[in-house]
Amino acid sequence: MIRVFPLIFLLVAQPLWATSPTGVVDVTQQPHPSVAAAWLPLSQSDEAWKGVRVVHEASGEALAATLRREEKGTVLLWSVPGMEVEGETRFRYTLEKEATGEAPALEANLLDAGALTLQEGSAPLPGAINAELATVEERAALVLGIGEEKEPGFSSARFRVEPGLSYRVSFDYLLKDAPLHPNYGLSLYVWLYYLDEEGHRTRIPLKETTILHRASLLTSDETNTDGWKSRHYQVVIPKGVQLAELDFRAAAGGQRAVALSRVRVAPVILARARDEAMLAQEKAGGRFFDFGPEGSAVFDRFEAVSPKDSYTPDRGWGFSGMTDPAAFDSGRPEALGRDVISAKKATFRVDLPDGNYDLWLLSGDVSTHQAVRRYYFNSQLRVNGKELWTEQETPAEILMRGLYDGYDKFWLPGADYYNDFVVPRFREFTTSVEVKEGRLLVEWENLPLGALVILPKKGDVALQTVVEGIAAERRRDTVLHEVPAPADKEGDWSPNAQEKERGFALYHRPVEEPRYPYARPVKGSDRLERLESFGTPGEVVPLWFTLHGLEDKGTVELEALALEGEAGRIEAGALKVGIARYLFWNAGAKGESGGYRYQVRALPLDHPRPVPIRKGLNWSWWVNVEVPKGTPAGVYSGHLRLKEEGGAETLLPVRLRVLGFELEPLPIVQGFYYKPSEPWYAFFWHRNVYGADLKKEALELRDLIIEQERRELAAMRTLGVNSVAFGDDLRGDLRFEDGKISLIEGDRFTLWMNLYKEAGFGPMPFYGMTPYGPTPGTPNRLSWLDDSLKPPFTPAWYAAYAELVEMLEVTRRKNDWPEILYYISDERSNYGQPGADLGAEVAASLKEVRKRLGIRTIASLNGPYERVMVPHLDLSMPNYAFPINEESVRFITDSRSAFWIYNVGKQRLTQGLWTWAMKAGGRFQWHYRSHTAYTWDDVANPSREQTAYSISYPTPKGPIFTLDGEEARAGITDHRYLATLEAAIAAAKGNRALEEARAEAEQFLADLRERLPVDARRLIESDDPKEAGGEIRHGLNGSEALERVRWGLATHILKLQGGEEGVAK
Amino acid sequence: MKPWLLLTVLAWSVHAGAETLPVVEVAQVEERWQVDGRAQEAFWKELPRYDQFYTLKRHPGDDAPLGKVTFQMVRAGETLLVRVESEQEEVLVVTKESGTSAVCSDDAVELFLHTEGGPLYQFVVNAHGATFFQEVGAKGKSDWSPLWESAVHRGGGRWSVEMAIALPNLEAKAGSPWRLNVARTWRERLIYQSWAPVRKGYGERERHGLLQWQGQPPQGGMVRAVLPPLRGLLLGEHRLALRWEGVPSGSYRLQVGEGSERAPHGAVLTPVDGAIETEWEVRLARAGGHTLAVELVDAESGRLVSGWVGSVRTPRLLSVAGLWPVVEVGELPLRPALSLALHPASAAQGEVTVTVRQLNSQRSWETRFPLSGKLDHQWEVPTDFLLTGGYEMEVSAKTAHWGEDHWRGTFHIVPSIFAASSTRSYP
Repeated sequence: MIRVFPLIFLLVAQPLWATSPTGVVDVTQQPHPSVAAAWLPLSQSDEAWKGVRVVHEASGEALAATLRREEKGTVLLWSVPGMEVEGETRFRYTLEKEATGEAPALEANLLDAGALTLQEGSAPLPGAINAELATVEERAALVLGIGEEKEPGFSSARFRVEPGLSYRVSFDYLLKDAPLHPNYGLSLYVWLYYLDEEGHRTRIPLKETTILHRASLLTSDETNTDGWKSRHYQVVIPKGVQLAELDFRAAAGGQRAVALSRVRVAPVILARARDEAMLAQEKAGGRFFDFGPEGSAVFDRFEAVSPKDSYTPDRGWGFSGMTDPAAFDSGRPEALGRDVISAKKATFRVDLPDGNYDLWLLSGDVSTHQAVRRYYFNSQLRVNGKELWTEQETPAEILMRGLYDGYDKFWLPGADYYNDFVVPRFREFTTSVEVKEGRLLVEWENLPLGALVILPKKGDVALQTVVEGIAAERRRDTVLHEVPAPADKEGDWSPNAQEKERGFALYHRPVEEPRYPYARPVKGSDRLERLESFGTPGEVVPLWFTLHGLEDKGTVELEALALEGEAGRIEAGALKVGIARYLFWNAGAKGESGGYRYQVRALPLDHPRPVPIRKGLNWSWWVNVEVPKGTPAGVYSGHLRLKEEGGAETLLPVRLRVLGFELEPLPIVQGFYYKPSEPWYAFFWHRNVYGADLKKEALELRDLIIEQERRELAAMRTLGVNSVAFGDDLRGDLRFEDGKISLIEGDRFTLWMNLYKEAGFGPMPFYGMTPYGPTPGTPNRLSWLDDSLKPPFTPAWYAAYAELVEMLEVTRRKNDWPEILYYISDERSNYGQPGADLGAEVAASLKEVRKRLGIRTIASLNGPYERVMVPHLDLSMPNYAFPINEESVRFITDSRSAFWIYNVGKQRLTQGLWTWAMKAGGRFQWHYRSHTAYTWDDVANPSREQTAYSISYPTPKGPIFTLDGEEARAGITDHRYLATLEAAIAAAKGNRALEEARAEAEQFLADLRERLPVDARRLIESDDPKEAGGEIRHGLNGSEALERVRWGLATHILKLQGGEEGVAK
Repeated sequence: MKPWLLLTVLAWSVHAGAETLPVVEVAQVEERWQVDGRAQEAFWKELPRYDQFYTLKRHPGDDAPLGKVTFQMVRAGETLLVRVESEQEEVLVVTKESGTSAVCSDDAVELFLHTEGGPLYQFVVNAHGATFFQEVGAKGKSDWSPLWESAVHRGGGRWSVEMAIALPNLEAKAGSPWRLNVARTWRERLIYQSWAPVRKGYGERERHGLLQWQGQPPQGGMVRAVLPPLRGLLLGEHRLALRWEGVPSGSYRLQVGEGSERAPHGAVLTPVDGAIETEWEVRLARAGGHTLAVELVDAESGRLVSGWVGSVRTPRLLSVAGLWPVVEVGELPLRPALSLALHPASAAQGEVTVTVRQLNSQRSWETRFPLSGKLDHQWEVPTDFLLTGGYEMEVSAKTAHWGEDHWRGTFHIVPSIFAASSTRSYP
């Protein structure tokens, strides 16, 4: 059995030498060599220290050591020899002015022989199975597959890990003619196995059903790697795990086919040293408590406190009272801030000598690990009876502040994610208190408390110094990773004399290109002299340009002026100015959990504001001209005015041709998925609410919700859509009595449907209904209503499911709501054939009720498995993955189901022209908005719901759209132009004077349709048609082509509606 | 009576662990055969029919008869012939293109073959005759397929599939028993039937039945063909290389071809350390899909030792760019460009003809130019020809060696938004 020892770093500082700071490190020894690492105290991180000497105190042996400068401080790395020693061994370090001696491998590594140094007489590899050390392609390597075993592998030495902390695992591998596993087609697996204290590979219960006993790092299907390949992963250690080991396995054997090198494991957050000040704090009787769930990460020097820690006189601290405790660990930003304890009421007692003390308390529940944010109401904090905090805000104020949280952090050059979005999640309290009778009582109600520091007043140590030190360490521990913008394209643009003189250039690039702060015009033709467009009365016509700074100047803001025409005027108020706001985008974890990974890009079109002109920095403005209905046809001219700080002005000419016709409404059912944000979730779901019963205490929230939803629905309508797929599943709003299902009093479905009807929408696909049909591995949601409905597909279940639909339909008719489309399932192909078969079962079960009530069912289909469902659906709504091709569309229509489309992109082309060409009866896209914990800080959300999908943002002044939202609007408007031309063609039938114009218009539409392939992947080039042997014939990708098409449509409409006079010759 | 008919014709069972697994006996025949789905060969009439199928799932409330499913199996030389017949009046035919797993979701039959520890081969044919093959667990599913063919016949209230599979092309683990399953899906009624008593799906190999071969079991998979993935091949001449591994000593010949055609290629080959390196020229003279085949046969007996069949798609020869769907008059003249998707080593000689016709009019304009070895060309359509209206442009490239290709596209000249002299900055 291999003995495993905890690896703990303790740095004990010594009195500073006059010129050479020193310290000691006590390491709990491991039996195998490793490379240890620790942050030097910030006080010792001066760059003047170039070298370090480390000596093993017991033997006097000098060890290889080095200092590594990092942005966040200085890391001390040293080689720790393998020794069979119980307990701790002391190392002494001395900083030096010059670099001296030998340096160890420059990476911390908890693994024995991880760097795989080939040394004569080196100890046998611990845990190695069927492997040897050898030189492979000039590298020291571990070679798998030297024996006869079927799956030769290597288990690393076991290393101690701390639950909740992130570890970086990296290795290089080389495959040479590696055979593939016959069933799985894989050559190499790499896992991180979790072990308990006894060294057993352990199973961790997750959400009752899932068992996790290892993290899969790599499954390679390569046979040959053509040299060494590097991989790195960041793994968060689950709760309950103390030890871990890496397991490399050649999946199908193979003699010497797999080689590994540079295998490393190191904590992402390093151990820390303590400087004089820190030691003095402890010496003076300072106490440091880190609150959180049992087993969650603990900040260095702090004592862990969980709700289970009741007060005991022996220990001298703990909870002496606690009602309804709740403890949460959000996984970010660092050990002190990520976890909290809240309670309806908590009293934490610390025994202290009588006297005066300074206290610092940290509160804040960052909720970064889940899609909803927890809200605390009626919170209070007291220390020995002294009130430190009583919540003054109303629930409505708290929830709305949460909804808009971060909106005020408009990105400007130099913006710092940590300062703008991490720090404000916390509230700090400092106070002084006198302790009598030997005890300190900290009491709180409905407050998420993260940390408590107590310092005696009599010492030399100032609380302020301690708090500043903790803040610096917390920032150092927070993992921030900015993904740089891609390099600019090559081009021939260079500034001309006028632009140099002005200090900025104005330019135009295709709308669909991503916008980064620091980019440049590419081609000379990108230069912008004026903005021109056309539109119809009642239409929203976008104008769009970018300013590129050539020097650092003051601020600039854009103002739109009225447009004048011969026949009338479009007032300035009809020109809505938006500025493309840069955001910290959620760039996806990409294997790096436990940190914040982001990229700065523009997304929402925010309300206008002055912005600074800086060299190389870009600002883009979007002006939506809302052409008033009844505006006479003609050319309207005016300007956009760029007003600089200091008075300089630049006028950008605008010309808009208003056409003499109005657009037909959208001819299909189209919209976005939508799930309301706060205060909806807190009020109706109530699952994120602490300290209040909002339905009793905050009834005013209902009015606020109505106001919010009215604004959101009105905003959606401006896009030209006529439907919304509503996503709330109505949990808690349904009642089951005597076999009958009904809506409870004051239910939200009625509230929302009334607003939906009021906003003028058409059919509503009720997406929130999908969980009521059973899915493999997920409890049947009808069981929420009654235990008798737990087993699906029983007579009782069939009856209840049909009853749910019938009840909603009867309610709809009674209230005269728009049609409800009964959305029975979503993406069942994710569960393979079993999932799709269940979907077919659910769809088929509504046969009788469909026929009797004349209702329509719908489902979103994302794979061929769901073909079995199609004959049982009224509306079949596939996405690319179904797939959508000529055969599958024919299959749907041959199956007597209507063909609709979902999630084929937010692009203008797929929203408009392509949907038209496909003759789809409906089109839905994920999403207008879905509930997230932080709308304005998507980096803090566990998924990328907001930046990757949402087309809108909430602001205190009302919803705003994203660039994607505007693309969608353009696509929908294109479709309305098509519908208008088709109506004009139909109206011209039989009119001999328009025969030629009609023939030309029909030809135009036929040509257009011919350019649009059924498989939209060809169209938006997610698939290379050349590679697939296809033909590049569409020429429609991109806003320029689509603008041309729209103008082509307009010319034909004008011809058919009264000759060509409306168009300039 | 032929000797193989002396064999027991009824299926018998063996116990695998606690489970009883069905067994099928595979007799040998010498007759000629044709895969047409019609069972025209005499031996089909005398072969046993296996008809004990498990119904894995059917839709609740569907009490209609299931319809009988039977299969037969026989070995003809190195080919395994399989026939599956399903009683079913109306079939729902949905997938008409082969090569997609959607075939499995249709009214379809599936055959699984493998040796214990070897790769699992899945052959699927739907009621339309569309096929799907995959070697489960191996790479390169898209461009590798064993030599096999199939045909479907429908009529008389039933539909039948015949498959012919070249056994030497399947990898078999020496000494391991052969296993199989035959399954049938009736999509509209959600009926899934399997001959083997599987629980997790048709492909659950541990519960597949066993094959008993008359005579020696096939030595399939002794020779493996290794070819780099073929992707993005342009028209033109290509030289392909293929390595045969695990080849027993002896003398061999290569047969190459496209589709079902084969022609001898090169000299007699002998393996070195069990491997033979072969090269051959492929001339891809038309755009679209090509099924390339190469076979290794015993030089003396002509017996097929191994083979490779791969599908490649070549892009069409001609593509044209620079032609917006709509052009404002102020943007003229028009300057489109063409490029030829031809392998650079293959000379582009010939001529291009460009014809522009105004739609619904007799007006046209034409230009010609030689290819002269270049793969890219640009030309200009004179402005005075392009009045407002719709146009069709035809580009014909006739090459000396690579056939010809024609491109047709339409565009529309429309008035400018503001005036003929203005040009608009498109977003």
